[in-house]
Amino acid sequence: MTGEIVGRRSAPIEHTLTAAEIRAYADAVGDPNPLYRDADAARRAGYPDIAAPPTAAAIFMMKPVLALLTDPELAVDLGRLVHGDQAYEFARPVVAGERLTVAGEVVEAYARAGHQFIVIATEARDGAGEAVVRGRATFVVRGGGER
Amino acid sequence: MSAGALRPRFGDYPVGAAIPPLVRTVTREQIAAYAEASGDRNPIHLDEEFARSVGLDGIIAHGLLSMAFLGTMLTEWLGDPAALRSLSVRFSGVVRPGDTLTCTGEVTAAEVVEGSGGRVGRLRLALTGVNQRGERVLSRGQAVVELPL
Repeated sequence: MTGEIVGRRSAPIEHTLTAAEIRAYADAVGDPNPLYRDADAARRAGYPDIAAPPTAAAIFMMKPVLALLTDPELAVDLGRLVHGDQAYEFARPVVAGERLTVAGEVVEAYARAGHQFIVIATEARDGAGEAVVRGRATFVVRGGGER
Repeated sequence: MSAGALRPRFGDYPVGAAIPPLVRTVTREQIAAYAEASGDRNPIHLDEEFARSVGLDGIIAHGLLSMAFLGTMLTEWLGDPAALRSLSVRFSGVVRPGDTLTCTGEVTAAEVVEGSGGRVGRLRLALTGVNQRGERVLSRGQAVVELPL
């Protein structure tokens, strides 16, 4: 199935990033920055509200990825799924309360050394339609390249 | 903002300069908290028995959790998350509960560019993450940041 999945897209997914989500993320990764917790500190730094750590993009950027990888037609075995690499480009930090539209597309798929590799590009746009985060990630299905 | 005074300046980071490193020990509780916070509840991160059933030696941390340590290292140094323009990394080794990661970054290119708000200094950094056995678990890490001149 390696080649024919290229071009497959997720349906656009709406996600409103909340202050609670940002805080839970910052707590989980152990980042103590007050900008991610304290609206006053964030405003003093020039943000309209609590800012999200750049890598908190994972909260919304993984949604289309998981939608694509768990599509019954792709039938990826989650137990064999490994995240191979991840790249992000940030236009600006996302702030609490922003409603984003996120979409993903399979841009490459190949088998190598007995494993299957799936490359997914993602993009999150803000309410004005501007891209705020772009992502590109490789996922490896261990043993998935065998035939 | 008071932290503004502490923001690094472009001229202090020539090619070859290192940024302050970050050391983090990953715990089982942290992996579970990350799964909840990120929404990635793949059982290879949460269920010991499941992880073993698919050929792992036990649960493993999300690659994106290790990547978050690189993000924290960079934004703690930068003082403002808006200064981080891109971040990429390859997950080259498994991270398990109890592993201690040491993240480091070094400037590989420095140039002055015309930004939206005037001239800024743009640095490219190479980033790595090494575990307590010296194994590189984060490799080919790269970031682009923008600093005041």
